[in-house]
Amino acid sequence: MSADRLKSVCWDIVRKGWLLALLMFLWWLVTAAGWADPYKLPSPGHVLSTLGNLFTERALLDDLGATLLRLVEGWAIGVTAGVLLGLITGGSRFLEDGIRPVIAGLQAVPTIAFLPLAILWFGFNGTAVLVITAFGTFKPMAISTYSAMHQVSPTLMMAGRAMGARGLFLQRTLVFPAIVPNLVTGLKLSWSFAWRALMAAEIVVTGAQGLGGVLELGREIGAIDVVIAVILVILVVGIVTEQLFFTRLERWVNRRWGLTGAR
Amino acid sequence: MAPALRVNAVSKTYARSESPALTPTSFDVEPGQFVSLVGPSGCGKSTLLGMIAGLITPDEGSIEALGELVTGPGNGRAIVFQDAALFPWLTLERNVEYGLRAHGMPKAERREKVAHALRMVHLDHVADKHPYELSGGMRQRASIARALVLDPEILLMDEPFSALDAQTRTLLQDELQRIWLETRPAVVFVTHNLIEAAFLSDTVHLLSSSPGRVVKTYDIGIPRPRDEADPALLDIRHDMLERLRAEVDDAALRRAEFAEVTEVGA
Amino acid sequence: MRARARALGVLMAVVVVALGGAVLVTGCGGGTGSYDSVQMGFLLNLTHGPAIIGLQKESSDGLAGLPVDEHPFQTGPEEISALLGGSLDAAYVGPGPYVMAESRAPGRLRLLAGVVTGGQRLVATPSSGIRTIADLAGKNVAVPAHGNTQDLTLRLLLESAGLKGDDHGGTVGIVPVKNAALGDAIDGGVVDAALAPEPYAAKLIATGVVVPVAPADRQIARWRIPATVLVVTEEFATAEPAAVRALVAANARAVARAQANPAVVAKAFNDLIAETTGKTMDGKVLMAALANMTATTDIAPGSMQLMVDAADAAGYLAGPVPPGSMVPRPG
Repeated sequence: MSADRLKSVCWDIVRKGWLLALLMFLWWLVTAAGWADPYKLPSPGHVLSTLGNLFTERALLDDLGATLLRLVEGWAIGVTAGVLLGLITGGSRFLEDGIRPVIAGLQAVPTIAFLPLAILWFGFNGTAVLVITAFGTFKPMAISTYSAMHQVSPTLMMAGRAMGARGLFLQRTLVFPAIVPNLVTGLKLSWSFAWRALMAAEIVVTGAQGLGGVLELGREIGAIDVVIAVILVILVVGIVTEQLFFTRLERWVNRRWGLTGAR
Repeated sequence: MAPALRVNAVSKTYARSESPALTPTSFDVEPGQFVSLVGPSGCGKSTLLGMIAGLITPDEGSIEALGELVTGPGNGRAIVFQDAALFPWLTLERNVEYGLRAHGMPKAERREKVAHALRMVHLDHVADKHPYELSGGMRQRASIARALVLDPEILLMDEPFSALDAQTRTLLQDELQRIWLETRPAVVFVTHNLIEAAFLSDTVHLLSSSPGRVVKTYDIGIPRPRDEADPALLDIRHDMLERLRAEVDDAALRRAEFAEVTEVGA
Repeated sequence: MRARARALGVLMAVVVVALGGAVLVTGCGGGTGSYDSVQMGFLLNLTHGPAIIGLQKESSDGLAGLPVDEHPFQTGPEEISALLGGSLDAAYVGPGPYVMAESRAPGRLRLLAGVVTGGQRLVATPSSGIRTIADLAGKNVAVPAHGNTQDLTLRLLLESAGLKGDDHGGTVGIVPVKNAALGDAIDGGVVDAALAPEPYAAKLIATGVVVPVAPADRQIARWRIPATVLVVTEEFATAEPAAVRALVAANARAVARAQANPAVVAKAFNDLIAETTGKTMDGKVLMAALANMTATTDIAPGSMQLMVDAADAAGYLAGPVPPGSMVPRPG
């Protein structure tokens, strides 16, 4: 690695990490100076050692793995279903008029409200959690999809039609690729909704492994250090997925679709 | 011989608009003839082209293309849009190929036709580039190739050069003249640039607005290849300008339209 | 220079907001020592029957001149958080959450008296073949939450039969299932048995879904494990000794009334859940559930220490629990 490259990587870390570092410092300051009640706000060192214990004694890595697997599965199912329904909805005025208000209404209902139903229909197990996660993903994805279809450039549609594209061919080769940049935004949005739904469901259905269960354990035994440790793990996973996956995906799509110019 | 295109008393009034966008208008386009529709904004020239393309339905009247009533896009007509309207996610090659795919042409045959069309507009060296990697002029040439690859008997062009800078525009006008001489489709060319219309066309329909209508038709008998600085072309442009001034009686409208026409026609 | 000055400004703003938040975390709960009311917490559980009837009658005129504001809670951990966070002064809580609080924030709370003993039983599906505690080997057992009274009691039962939970190398799966989802978990085969609080145990038995495991129930009865105890914050106890004495007396009267007339408890409980959920429970089920618990101010010697030992063995404790905190100090 050249010196310049090293320098730019270092600067990148400073640029993206300054707030996190500052908050950590303040956290440490407040606890080290004894301004905070240690029961209400444990010190960073205490939380880190709790985190270490969770990894070595409770095998938190297994919980994290189980949660991420469920998250990716539920998200993938929800995204597929959402995009398909969005395409169908946006493809016909009649269908859209009927489907749109229902989805918009459902989006106003917190996904977790459906958990009792999911438990009744799919059992008190991982399937119910997966269904809830997929459902939480599905709604924003469907909305993003059909909203994106309204933003497809009319000129492109005219061009496609004038070249003889019709029906399914038009949808597959023109409408779908045209909405991809907007779908990436939908993917990010639905990813955060998937997290919320999954955590809320795992807290109730604690039989299986998962971060939600650990979070609930911390709450139940009054171990606020465990709660903070799990929050930190979720935060780190969030930052890593954003930086390593979504930002790159977005950059690639924007370049490929010519949205950022030749950068 | 039957006309390639017969425009038969078509008219259009848009909702929420007081005066008609286009009052009943008729003309024919012969096979291989180059016809321009020229005039200021709001004169109905783009509406007329949209109706010919089958993308806009006329209120009254009808259009026949190659002897068939126009009810939608297709059958022998291809369009070039103002902003190229290439699909940004496809390479140039795939863009040019799109219409052939839509028509279900086999792959081997497609490849040959695409290569030929790209050569004709001198873009074969950038076939695998994406539109964002190209200049505006190259994009517009690609969009012409995309239309030509369909072997249209009627080529419709909606202000294809108006977004380009002056030099690129001149180059592309020459190139279009050359391509047209090689392939000889009937062309309906919409522009607000008077000299461009006169330079390229066999026939120019001059339109005016409020309501949109054809005010005069010019037959340009100058032999090709032409030179844009030809004094005969400048005379025709001058006459068109005079004609437009005379047509506009509303003072406010006159100022607005005069400014536009002189600017783009200069 | 302008940009740098602006960045500095933003930085300062962030620091101010963060410090403000820290002050909020540290600042609240520091009372002046004089109270003008008693903030009283209890759970919407049948085992909190004396609290439910007592707050309507014995404490309704206030305690030593201090009016009582009652706050129903859904779960023990929230109630403990409210106590330690300064929102509550006194509370009826389960022994499990109280033990957790003494381990993590020693000396903040004071145990005053017992309220109800019993009120939980081990039940199992007939098909599971569970007839004794030893039969739990290799099975999954539901408890309402980690570290609550049922979880700790189950661990004591397992230990008595030489078994261990699967989280400590044993064969018995201990599955936290919220009371409302217990029926679904049993129906779905997620668990074979449950150590359930009343009235959920009685309700499941009445529907025939499960049967009691009698040897376990006898063992639980022998331990005389409290279901509900009365605690106050140390700060309140120091500042308002008269109110604390009045609270202990009011509790004793309510406990005696509940023990003498369970039907009063059943009715008050049904009225309360009808008010909050719009539903009521079968009176027969409630009476059966009340028959499985004893309202008493006594805390059997050693019964609280059993909870501490079980919590310690389960790895729930952050530090040693002061032994004195497990003995009631009503005065």
